[in-house]
Amino acid sequence: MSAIVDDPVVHDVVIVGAGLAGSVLAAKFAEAGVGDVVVLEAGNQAYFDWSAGIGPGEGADSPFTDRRDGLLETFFANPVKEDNSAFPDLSYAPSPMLDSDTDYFVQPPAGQRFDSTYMRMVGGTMYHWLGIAIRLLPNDLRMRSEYGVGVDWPIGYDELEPWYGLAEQELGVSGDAACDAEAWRSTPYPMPPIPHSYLDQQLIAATQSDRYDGPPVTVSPPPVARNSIPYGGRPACAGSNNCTPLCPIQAKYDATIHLKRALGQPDLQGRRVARPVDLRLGALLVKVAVDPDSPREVEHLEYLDVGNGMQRRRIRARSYVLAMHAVESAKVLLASGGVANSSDQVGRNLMDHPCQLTYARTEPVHPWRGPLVTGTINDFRDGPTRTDQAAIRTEFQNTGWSWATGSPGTTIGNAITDELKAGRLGRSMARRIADDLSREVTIDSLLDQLPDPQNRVVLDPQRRDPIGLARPKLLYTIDSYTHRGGDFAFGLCRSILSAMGADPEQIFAAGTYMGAGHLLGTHRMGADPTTSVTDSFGRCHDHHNLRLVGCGSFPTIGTANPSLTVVALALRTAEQMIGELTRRTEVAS
Amino acid sequence: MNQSQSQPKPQPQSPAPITTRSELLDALTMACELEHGLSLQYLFAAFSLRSDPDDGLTRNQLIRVRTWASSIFFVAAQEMFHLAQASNLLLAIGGAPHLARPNFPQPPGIYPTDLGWELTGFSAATIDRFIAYESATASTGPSTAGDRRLPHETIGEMYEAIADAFERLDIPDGVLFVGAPDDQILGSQVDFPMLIEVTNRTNAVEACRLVIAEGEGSRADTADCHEGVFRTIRRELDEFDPSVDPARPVADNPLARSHGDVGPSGPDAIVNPIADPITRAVQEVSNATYDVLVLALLRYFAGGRHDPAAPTVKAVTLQLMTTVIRPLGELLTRLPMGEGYDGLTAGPSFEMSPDVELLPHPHAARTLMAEQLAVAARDAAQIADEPVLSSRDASVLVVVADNLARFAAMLETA
Repeated sequence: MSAIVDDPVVHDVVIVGAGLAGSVLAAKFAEAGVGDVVVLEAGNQAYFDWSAGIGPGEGADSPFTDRRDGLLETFFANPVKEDNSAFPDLSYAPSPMLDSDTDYFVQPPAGQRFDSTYMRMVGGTMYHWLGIAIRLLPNDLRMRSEYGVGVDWPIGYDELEPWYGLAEQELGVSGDAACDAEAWRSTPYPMPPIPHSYLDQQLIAATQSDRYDGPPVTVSPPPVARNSIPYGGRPACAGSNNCTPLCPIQAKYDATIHLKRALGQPDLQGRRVARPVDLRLGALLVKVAVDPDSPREVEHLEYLDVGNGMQRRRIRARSYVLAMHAVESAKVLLASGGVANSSDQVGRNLMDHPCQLTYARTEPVHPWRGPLVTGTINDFRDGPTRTDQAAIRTEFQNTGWSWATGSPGTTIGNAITDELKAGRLGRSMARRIADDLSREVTIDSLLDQLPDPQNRVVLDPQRRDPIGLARPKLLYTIDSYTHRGGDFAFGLCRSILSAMGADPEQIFAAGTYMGAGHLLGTHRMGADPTTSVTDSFGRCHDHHNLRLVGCGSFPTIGTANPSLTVVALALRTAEQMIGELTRRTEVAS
Repeated sequence: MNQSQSQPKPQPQSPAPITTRSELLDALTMACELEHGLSLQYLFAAFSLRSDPDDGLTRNQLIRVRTWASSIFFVAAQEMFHLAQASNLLLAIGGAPHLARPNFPQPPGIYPTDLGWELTGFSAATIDRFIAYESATASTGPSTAGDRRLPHETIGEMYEAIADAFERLDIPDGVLFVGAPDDQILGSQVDFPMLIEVTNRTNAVEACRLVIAEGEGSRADTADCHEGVFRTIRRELDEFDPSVDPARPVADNPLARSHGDVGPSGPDAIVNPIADPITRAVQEVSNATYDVLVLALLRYFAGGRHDPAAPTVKAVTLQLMTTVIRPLGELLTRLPMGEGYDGLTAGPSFEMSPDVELLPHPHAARTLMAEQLAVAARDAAQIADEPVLSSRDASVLVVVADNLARFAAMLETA
């Protein structure tokens, strides 16, 4: 390997990762214009026009035009339609896949597997998120104090609330304030809610009928970062039913919106940011180096320059931010000799929202239309039972049995097999398939999961990725607290499906909990440096100039999809860092 | 072309303000008519877009064209929302819901804008007309048309005058808002969560401002209003492969029959009677369904939602739009106009019969509507058997016939 090349400039901030948290931070720094900011990103291709519009006045007609055409082509051509099927899998920085332990994650061959993935590309995993942008509840942040389980966050809901409001503006969230449960708000949603699907309407009617024997429930539209009306120059949702893996028309927010802003895209009034950031693609972080003479300080980062023969480069800054998602940030810290790990919490407390799936055929509900989820039940997100069992948030899938069984492929396959056996072909088979598909209902319940230090990311030095870096090994189990929540969820969903006309003998639970795609808690924040990695702003207890942001910061996870909270926390961190940069500039001048 | 951007806003003489309840009712009635007609013009253009994989477009072209269609459908839906909002304003001051309108085409000048009022397929010219409808800037300068029914130059200006009237009308609040609050249409019941219940001057003005903002964009980001949506489509159309027409070759104003209230049309607005008998028959099924849709909406808007059968009527109304009007609309843009039209196809003409009026008795109304849907179902099923139809088009009619029969049964038993 060739010698390390030094970047001669000491930058103000280096952000690693151009996904959600990194892009939001970059955009806020660029808007403030207070520093020289570099963003390192492992992905080597941006799916938007980038070179056209950076300089003042250049490419003014169509700068930063979205170019997801290539991603759509990949999706259409890929015979496997799953979370990552539209996206590049980098030869030098593979993304984890769901279906094989020969891929990136190292997991035990048997037992409970960690079932969520992420993407290593420009814009990050936000391309394939569902779009649910829901707040944590006040009690989610004080689980130890309120219910005697888990830990408390170092900040409370009242402090986080204004940042939630800003985050909703930044992403563009459609929602109904009347359905917010205990998460009080000081600002309205930017957009009205997405209407309920026909399936939701049938489900609502069923839960209000005499046929329903479960606990009282209220079905409401979940808040989503998906346009219900044109917003931010992007169109309203057209109901493509393809939010995951890719919204074909960008009605759903993704991180490239903030990344383009950080790079200089004018806003809708034509205003450019004060100082665009320097985005370096194909920059794969391999080491966080602490100053040996001043261990409280990170001295530099080392990264591989993929476009230049994997040249190893060294970059220095006054502040560093790792925003690489929970597994990658922990992996690099561990690979760097245990940076930021005096608490021994780096990589630990890995969490997801295990999803309990219940499915059946009911009276016709005509799924496969609209966004993937347009109805949710919030009634069991909080309450005294949380001392003993996981809270749940229940959602209704407008995608038939696709998540539970792989329909429509499996449904069509079964129909062909059965009809051929019965000697029926043609219209009979077509009617059977149409009828089966129109009746498929899947209800999923996101389960709370408590932090467990034994659920963790470690390095497996025996298993190396294509460029020789140790692959992340995931140790993960789901405890009885979560299982009890899952049992309750199945009973609830069983009652709902029965009321919708399902044969009670034909209501099924998926054989295992599915992953929600939420990778959480590997560098949790906290007030106590002996039990947490960072403070509430993401600043490491061990290193004053290193911040860790994103899902890894969560001490507990409640039942809220994490992205809105990630953005709220990132905005709060950005304000703190911009204040520091401003003060530093004033002192210097 | 950025028509309204490139022209300075003309300075028309301020029209006389609205000073009486009667004038306000007149303006709101006109607003209902206008929103209704705009919505149908947008639907016609969206239906004309090529939407299927076998329409000869590349996959990425198809995605682009479908995105245009969905954006236009969205704006059309918001015009329906504006119609509901204008209806609430009408109901609040004691007016009746107004869903009648003259058939297409109509002469320029019948409404604010002085623009053509006609059904035309998706094209640069059509999108330019839509931009002009939604623009805050008058497209033709001060009107020379003497027959315009309201003096305002733009739709926004008309709503400003209505808002101004609500603020200033010299009638005590309790007398002005004489409509029953219970008769207001609720947004939660019609999938329009932003719909404002109008009970006083404040929320009446708020309702007008909302309609203006959604149309011409008083919000800071003008890209997100209707005008902005159409400008985006226009810009993207300029970048589209010029050798490919994203729309089917639909005729303008393809009518199944003649109407006494049509025209006199402008120089470019031509009435095209459908020559092909099968296409004409499909158009009649579409028109009959549209008539029932309007009858049902009238019942609902006029307090019919207090009827125990209202949930069924509402469900039928909404499902007619998506499971009959839309597939028939798309089908009609594939069917030939017939002899003398040189390959042109039709499109949904939304012809309104003169007997579409508020049916006062709930049971009688349901009986009439069910009967009309049953006849339409029978007709659709018969047309589906025509051997000249492709199997694909025939299957659309079979599904439509099934749906119409199901809705007829729902109304009969409600």
